[in-house]
Amino acid sequence: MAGITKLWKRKKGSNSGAGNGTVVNGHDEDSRTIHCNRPDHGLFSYAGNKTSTRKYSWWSFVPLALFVQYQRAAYWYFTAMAGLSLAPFAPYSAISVWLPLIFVLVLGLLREAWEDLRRARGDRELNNRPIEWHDGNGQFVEKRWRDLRVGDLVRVKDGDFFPSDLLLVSSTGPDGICYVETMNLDGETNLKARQALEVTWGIDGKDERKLKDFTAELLCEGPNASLYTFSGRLKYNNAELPVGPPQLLLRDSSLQNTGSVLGVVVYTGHDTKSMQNSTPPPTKRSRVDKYLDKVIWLMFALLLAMATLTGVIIGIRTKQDGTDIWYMRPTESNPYYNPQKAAIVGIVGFFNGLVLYGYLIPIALYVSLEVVRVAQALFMINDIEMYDPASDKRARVKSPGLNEELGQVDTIFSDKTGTLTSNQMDFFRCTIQGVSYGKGTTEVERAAEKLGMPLGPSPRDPRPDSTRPTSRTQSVDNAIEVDTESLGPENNPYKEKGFNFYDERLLAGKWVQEKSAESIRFFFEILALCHTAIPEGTPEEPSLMRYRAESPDEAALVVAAKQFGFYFYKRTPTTLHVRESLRPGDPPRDQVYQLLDVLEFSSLRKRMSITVRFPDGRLLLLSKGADSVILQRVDRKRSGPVAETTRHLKLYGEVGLRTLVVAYKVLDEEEYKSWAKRYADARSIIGKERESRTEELAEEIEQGLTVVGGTGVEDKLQAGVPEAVDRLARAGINIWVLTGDKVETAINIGYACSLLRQGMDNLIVSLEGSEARAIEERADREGWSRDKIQEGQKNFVSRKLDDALQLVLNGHVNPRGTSTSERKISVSESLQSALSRSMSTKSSGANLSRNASKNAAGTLTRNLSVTNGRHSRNPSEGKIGVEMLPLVDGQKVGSNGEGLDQREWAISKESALTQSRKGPPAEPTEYALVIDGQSLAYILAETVLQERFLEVCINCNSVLCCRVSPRQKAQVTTLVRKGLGLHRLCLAIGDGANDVGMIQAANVGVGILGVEGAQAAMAGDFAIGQFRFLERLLLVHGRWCYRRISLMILYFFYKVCMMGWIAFYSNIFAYFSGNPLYNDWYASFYNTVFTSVPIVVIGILDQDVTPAEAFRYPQLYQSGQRGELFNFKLILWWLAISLYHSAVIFFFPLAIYSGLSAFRPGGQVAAAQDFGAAMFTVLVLVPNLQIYLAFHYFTWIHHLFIWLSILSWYLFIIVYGALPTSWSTIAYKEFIEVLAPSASYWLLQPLVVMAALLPDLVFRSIKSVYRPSDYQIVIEQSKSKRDSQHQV
Amino acid sequence: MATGGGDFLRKLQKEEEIQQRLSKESRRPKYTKFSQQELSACKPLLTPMCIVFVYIAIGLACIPVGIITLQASLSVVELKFRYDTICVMKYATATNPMLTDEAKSEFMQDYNKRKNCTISIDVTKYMKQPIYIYYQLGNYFQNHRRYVKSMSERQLQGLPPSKVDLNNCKPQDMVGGRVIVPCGMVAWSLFNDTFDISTNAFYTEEGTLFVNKTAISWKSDREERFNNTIFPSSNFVNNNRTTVVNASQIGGSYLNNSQPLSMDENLIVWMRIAALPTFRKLYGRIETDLHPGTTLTFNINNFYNTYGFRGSKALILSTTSWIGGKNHFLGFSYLIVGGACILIGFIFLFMHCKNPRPLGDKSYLSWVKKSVATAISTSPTTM
Repeated sequence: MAGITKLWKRKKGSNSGAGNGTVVNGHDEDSRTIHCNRPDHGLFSYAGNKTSTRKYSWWSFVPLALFVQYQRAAYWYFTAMAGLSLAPFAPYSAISVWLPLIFVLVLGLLREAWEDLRRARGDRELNNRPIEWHDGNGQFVEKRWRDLRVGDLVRVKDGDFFPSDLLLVSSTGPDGICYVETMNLDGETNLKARQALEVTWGIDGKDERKLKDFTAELLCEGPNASLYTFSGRLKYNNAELPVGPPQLLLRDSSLQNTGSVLGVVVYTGHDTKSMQNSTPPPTKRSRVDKYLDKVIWLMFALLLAMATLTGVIIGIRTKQDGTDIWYMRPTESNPYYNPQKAAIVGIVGFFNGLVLYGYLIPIALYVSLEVVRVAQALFMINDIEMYDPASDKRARVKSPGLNEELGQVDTIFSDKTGTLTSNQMDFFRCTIQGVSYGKGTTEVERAAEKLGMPLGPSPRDPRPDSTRPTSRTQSVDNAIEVDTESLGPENNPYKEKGFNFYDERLLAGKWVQEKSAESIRFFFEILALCHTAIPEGTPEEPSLMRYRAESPDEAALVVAAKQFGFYFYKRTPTTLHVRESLRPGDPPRDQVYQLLDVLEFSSLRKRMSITVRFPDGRLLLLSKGADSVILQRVDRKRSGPVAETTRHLKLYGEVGLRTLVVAYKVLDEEEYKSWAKRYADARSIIGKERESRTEELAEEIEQGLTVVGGTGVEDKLQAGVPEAVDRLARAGINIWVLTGDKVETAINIGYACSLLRQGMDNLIVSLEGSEARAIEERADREGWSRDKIQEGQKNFVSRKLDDALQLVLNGHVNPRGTSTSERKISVSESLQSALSRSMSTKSSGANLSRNASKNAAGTLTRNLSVTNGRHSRNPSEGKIGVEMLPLVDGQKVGSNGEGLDQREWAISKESALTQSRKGPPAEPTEYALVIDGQSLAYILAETVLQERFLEVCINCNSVLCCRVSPRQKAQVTTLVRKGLGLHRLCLAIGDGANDVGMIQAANVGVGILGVEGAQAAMAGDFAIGQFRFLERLLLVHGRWCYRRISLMILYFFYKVCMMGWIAFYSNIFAYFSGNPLYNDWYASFYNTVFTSVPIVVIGILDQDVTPAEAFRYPQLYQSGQRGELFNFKLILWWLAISLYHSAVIFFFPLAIYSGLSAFRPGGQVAAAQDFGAAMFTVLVLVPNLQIYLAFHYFTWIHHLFIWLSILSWYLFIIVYGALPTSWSTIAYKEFIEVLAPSASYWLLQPLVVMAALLPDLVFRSIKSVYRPSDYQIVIEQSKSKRDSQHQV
Repeated sequence: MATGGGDFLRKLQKEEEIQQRLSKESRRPKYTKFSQQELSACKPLLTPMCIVFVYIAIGLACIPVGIITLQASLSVVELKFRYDTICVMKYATATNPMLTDEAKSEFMQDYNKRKNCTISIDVTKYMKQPIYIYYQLGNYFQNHRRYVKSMSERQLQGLPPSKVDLNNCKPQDMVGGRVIVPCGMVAWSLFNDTFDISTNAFYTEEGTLFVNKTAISWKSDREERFNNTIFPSSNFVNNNRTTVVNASQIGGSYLNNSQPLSMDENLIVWMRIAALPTFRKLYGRIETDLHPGTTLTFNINNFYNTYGFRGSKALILSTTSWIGGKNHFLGFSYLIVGGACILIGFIFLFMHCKNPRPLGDKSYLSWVKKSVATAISTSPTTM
């Protein structure tokens, strides 16, 4: 066994053993030395380039594939049972036990074989791809991928994939640059530049001699899984040069926008980084599946108990009866009936019982479940409603084993960008030198208006902007407005992909008239230069130019610069080419900027910078990044318009824009020189140190910045998101948004997609609020140490959590500190009691009024204690206003200084009353928690806080986590999944690589097949094209799947238990000797033929309500969350039914076929086989007809298979009985001769069916009349609606 | 298994995608009612009136069936008497007035004792021919696994028994190196009591009543399962129990070695294993009507030893109706089920009239109920 495991592991390891280092010649490879362009392969012992993803070879197939099958414990059990059936004492013939097992195993093996053959076919195709290979004499010849060896020199053409990991030697592109697409590796669609070492540029394949003479020695690290690191040294022409990731071309990526490249094979086959990286996703099992295991154990315990009982009884009886039963010849040598050795008889009886009652553990269930799940998945894949025409993508199902999980989701963790929003970034607003530009309404604003809560003073109207000189603009504004009456944000002639900006002051070159035109120009220059986008297209056609950028918002900024007349059209490693056309009439002017260094963007740094020399000789550092990061690094003296920019960006954030601060710094020539040298050195370091060193140097130069302005890019909501979120929330699903955005942005997006709703209390825990800033300020004043600051912040977070917890639990916060809060609470409490007094007469409205008062109290207290005394800016806006801008600076808050007084609450009470009379009772108070990443970091670090956090979250309907890192996303998901245990089920949905951790950590991961590549979709268990499909995936498919799987498992247990009980009953009458009173073939066909198909049909097709009804009543989904369809109570209930049914099925025929009276006019009495066949007839009838009682949805397919199953029994017994006697033995002509001609046989069948089903029918009638389930009411409603329509 | 399905699907989807990318067709799924799960279906609703209707309809259908069936069963005349004790009691002595089971057993094992006894029964009701004669054994485990297996189906069909069969037939498999036909304990323990019937009635010759013992087995059994070319082997025919078996137990018949197995209907009936430890087996058939007042005298050869294992033996005479023998079960069950249905139907009707639930009443929705419940439960606390 151990041997096989080892073999298996090694085999697996060669496919996907990530990161462990690969075994070469029996030892781990730390580094390798490669002799470039030396086709002397005998020297090296590295693996070939042939890859195999096959799991099996022809000789290892059977054992290994069987091993895979037998990883399921149930199979061991079944095999053990089959083994027992070989024993001479076995109650069933061995073949009738083995056949089903062999069938299942062969099915599994066939599937494995089929998959492996397909894998082999894929491998063959890959291995046989052609590649141009240098033969050592200056000629390139065609070779197959699989024949490549380490050190070979190959040529790859534009658009082709790299056959292995290559060291870039030269490129036909300028300066040894080539572009690669890494879609298959990391899902990113942007092009990445790779550049050869300068010394090897010359070996370009044109000069045969150079090619022939090219030799070099590459010393590099051994194969590993890290895609983004590579370090080595190239010994070439007596020089030793460092090589790194820019020189490495990875297998599975392709060459783009470059004629061809030459490369040296570095890692081959399974050593390549992409192969080393292909870790299988973590296997997840559904909650139902895990529960099923427990049920199986229960069944097993039951089985053991029954078998033990059997063994004990037969042992004792044999002992007692002794030699009395002479017809058993007890005195002869007879091992199975020997009164002298009753213990042996008992043990044999025990094993006998195990086989006899073995039906309790259903082998067919596993096969059926798999079939059903695949069918369910096919339904999801082929659902038109989940097809996204925009991207031409269907839903995908990767883990059909998790289908039913979709029907039980409690909590959704959602990414924001690309998931809730479409990740189609449009440049929307900007602030330059403290002046905000850009008109038009964002979706968030529109949503807010629709909900009746305008966002207040908006940056879209620049007039009240105090920084703006009023004398001149007034007239200009008017003039422009007159001129361009027809133009406007809604009718924007400049609109294009990535650009949805409208402001007549800037567009069409008008910006030069602005006061700070120089700054504006500089701002645009920065936008045009400070990025890593690669232009694609011909420079002469600006409108067709596409930018391949790391993120869509970066592209949007470049597009914006183009629109403003700074057209970036060409990038080389050292230069940036911008075509300036400042005025429409002027001829465009090409400017070349010297690009010196790029300090790249990372989620950690949250900023990027470049150093660049302008055409006029200025040496500048240009930066853009998140405001928090950039503002920390501004020059105190020359900070630029920090205050205005911050304010504008905050407002941008509120209306749902993604913001960046744009800043610069003039570099000192000398300082830069020394820095540049150190930076170059740092970049040439091989190893881990390099990263930290470059990071340090970046930090060093990115100081003392001057802010120029900021940008606001709109990330549009995906279609249907607010509706979907709203319905999911009404379905009782808590939705958490985990986003890297600012608190304000997140809150407002939250409102836009109805994640935060009217009447919801927002609990905000943030270290960015003014209260938290007070800590920092105090720390600054008093000179606290870093630890003390952290301590203070932690205490702050923990206090906030405490408050929030009390609020969600008790509806108010215990008074602490300020006297105002005490007063307010008492007000709200008295109000609450007053309300309930007035409402207690009208019960239906009581709830609402309670809500209203609780809302009031909650909002009020939250307002007082959580966000520390903020006030409503405008009483007429009511409490929404209070909730909307809890973190806005004091100046934004309205005039009503004292907040709401009792009189106003009385008004809201009245409105609540009037509402309550009309509308249906509302839901209980809802809370939303908003928390930022920094606070989260403190929470995640401490168990106490984790628990408190969880408790708050459980009681909140929505949770927004802002400014979280990908790691935190995964951590939060894990925390919730683990912390809430089995009773909560988490689903994570996201679209980007940063969501992969979260998707894998959640119970169910859903990937969006979005713009940011396929990585999330690949990691997810399901993938959909749009967020709104999640609604259908959960509320329709998930609910159905959960229902189907649950019903199916329950019914399966009912069915197999009947068989088990009946085996036990018959044993009671047969001295517990283990002799079934029916033919063993009947029994083995029972689960596989007579009763198997209808339940599979139900598992595939059953519905309770239609999708339309499911959407109309999302609350129906809650039954899945509560696990109402599959739980211990239901299992017991079905076991009870099976017990009763089996009793009726066994004893009713027994009364007629007892052999104590004739069952036919011919005087014949029944023998065991006659009883067995009659009993089996009803045993087939009852469970099949029970379907009509237990389920509520029947299509013609249901009817067909139910009746075919019943028919199959009659057919079987006729055919079996017609076989020659040597086959059919005692069942010979059983049906035609014995049963069918007897009236009692036919009278028995309806009787047993009625007697068996009657109690169940009564129970269900009572339930349906007096305790109807939710879906029944819904069906009744639509039915009565239909009826009334018919009448009209 | 679940992950296996995933692999399968993944492959399928990838393949499909590649193909579609090549063909450049839209990947929009085709609409069918089936794939959109919009098949027209019946969703039976258990509305109160439909429930009442269903119950009363079932009840009304069951009751007549029950009455007819019960009547048929009641029309059957059955005479039954237990003879095992009576037949040995006459050998009780003054010193041993109540024979113990051991004493009875001992008596049975004594070859030298005559074991016949005579019993008379009066016919009280008219019995129309055919009248079936059964013997009934009690506490006899013909269905014991050990016993059931101890026979060879192949042998009965005229084939040589397999090794497994012979092993199962042990210890009744071979004697002196020759295979016993039919082997096994089932055949060996064949019931061997015999009954002769005489009567005082005028319509019989010489006072004896002819008992037809043919065609008492299933036709398929005697024609196909039991081969007509197989004769009981000599070992079994000359069943000298003192040599074959230790004489401590007795039972089992002598088989006529000139008669093929297919002709020995007693054996065929016996070898059709009974389901329960108490069972009847058909012995023969009287093809004469019996009138009230007739006295039947049974001359019984009480050979079969049921005393050792506290069994019982009885003799039964029974007529049949169209549903078979005397068995009220079917009739009563139909009546009970029918009655129950009608009763339940009326209860539902009553309850519905008194306390109807409007169809589709939203206040029964669980989430509505819950919110009302919380409102009610919380309102007193705030008062």
